[in-house]
Amino acid sequence: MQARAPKPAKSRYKGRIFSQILPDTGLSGRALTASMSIMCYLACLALGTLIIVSKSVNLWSSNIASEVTVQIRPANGSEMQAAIDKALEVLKATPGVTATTVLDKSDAAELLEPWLGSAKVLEELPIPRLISVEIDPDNPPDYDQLANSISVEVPGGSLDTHRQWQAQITRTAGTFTLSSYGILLLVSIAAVALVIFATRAAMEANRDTIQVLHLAGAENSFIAFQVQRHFLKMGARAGIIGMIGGLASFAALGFATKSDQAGDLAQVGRQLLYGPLAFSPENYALLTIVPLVATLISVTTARLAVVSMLRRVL
Amino acid sequence: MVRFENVGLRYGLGPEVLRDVNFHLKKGSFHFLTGPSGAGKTSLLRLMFLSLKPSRGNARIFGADIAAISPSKLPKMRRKIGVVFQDFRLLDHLTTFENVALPLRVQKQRPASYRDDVMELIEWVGLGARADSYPPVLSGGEKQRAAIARAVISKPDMLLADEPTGNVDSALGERLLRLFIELNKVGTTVVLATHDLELLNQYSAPRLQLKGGELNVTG
Ligand SMILES: Nc1ncnc2c1ncn2[C@@H]1O[C@H](COP(=O)(O)OP(=O)(O)O)[C@@H](O)[C@H]1O
Ligand SMILES: [Mg+2]
Repeated sequence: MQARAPKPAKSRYKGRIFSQILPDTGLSGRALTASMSIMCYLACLALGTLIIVSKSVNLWSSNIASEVTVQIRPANGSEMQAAIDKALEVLKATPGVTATTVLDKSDAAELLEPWLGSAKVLEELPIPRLISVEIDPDNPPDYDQLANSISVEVPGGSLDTHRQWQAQITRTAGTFTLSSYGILLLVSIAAVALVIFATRAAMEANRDTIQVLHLAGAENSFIAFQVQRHFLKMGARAGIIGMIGGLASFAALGFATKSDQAGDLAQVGRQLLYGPLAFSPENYALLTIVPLVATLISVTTARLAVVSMLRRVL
Repeated sequence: MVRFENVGLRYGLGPEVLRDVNFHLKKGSFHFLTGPSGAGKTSLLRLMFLSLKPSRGNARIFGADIAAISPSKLPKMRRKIGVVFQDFRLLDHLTTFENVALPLRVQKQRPASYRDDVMELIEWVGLGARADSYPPVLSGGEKQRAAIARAVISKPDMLLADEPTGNVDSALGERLLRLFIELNKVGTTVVLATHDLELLNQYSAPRLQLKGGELNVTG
């Protein structure tokens, strides 16, 4: 036992980093870090869903919003071509309309072919004609007034602004958004509960040490700080693991499936990670919220839990 | 400094461990606390180092009623009291040096300001070669000396030592007693609990004698 030569007394402990007052054992167990990481991963997925949904909705909405259609149904006793000309006249006089394209009868027939069969039949049928109208999205026309003019002045004419589609997309997106927020909320609550239990276990495991610290004159805040730093490390670690897991999942989503259809999971996953440069860095930044919030949750929860527990001892 | 009047103590619903305890410790005094094992020495000391509240009676320390000290004032009061626990209560994950420095560390003092003092005290109690060792590898006597060093490092106003010579040979026991006497001479109020007759005979000081939960002051 006496074999080791003593070091010179004065030089010892110069610049030395002291051991942690509370040991790691019983404080940041693997099970805790693992559970916390899983929650952070789920939070990442929910956050990713939020981003995808909001980006997609913006994209779809702006596409839809920059185009409206005028539909002219064959009306009794009216000449189709005259109705089309009248509609074009009304449209040209409307500020905010940038271009108009009259779809040929054959175009219209083609659109209907899957339902009605060969083009020959269609030629004899009175089918509605469509005028595609491009809109200046920054300066859109007064749709109500335009719809009114079309239906009054153009026989059989009506304006389709795709608004019901837009409303439906918005509602669907709203449902997704709401459930993502719900998941984030539940995951956060679960994380808080987890940290409270872990803090209790940690205090129990270190009961003797904490008592010695108290009797040595430690303030509750000092002890809370010692516990807190473990949970800071744990929260940050779990958050980063969860975030990496989330990013990896989005990347896998992007790579694993080769499909390239706009709006499908693979395409959306790729877009989320690398896609249009304009919003990619912003997405990464948003995902780093997960480790930040995880750290914040575990530190503040641990602190509050410790302080409330310490208040109950003499 | 410490005044107990008709103090009684019971653990939970058990019998009274201390009954009608009356005594007064003046600032700068030195007292032995004696009595057979189980007489209540540790319990009495626990009242004095604010780890227990009396079940009845009036117990005052530094002028404050022990039963009524607000939790926010406890740390300040405890810093004025150095304690050598009967079972040492060293922290196993800290080195001897870190254990001894603990009271200063919880007061958030800077390590640079106390490093040399701590090392000097460790040398003085003969643990110079053990400064980097952890308590589990220390012998009983070494642990005891580390515990004593921790109790006195912050120069407390009052030192409460619970059988601090129970694990050391008589030569070292004598040396530790001299340390307590030295500390007392520079103004520390000392209460030394022991049932070691040899130690009691080496220094004449008033005795608080516990027996069957009752206390008599002699000398
Ligand atoms: N935490 C405790 N809970 C219940 N009884 C205790 C506790 N600590 C001590 N006692 C009892 O109080 C009595 C006095 O014990 P103690 O103060 O340790 O005596 P001493 O230190 O003189 O040996 C003993 O009968 C012991 O069993
Ligand atoms: Mg005892």
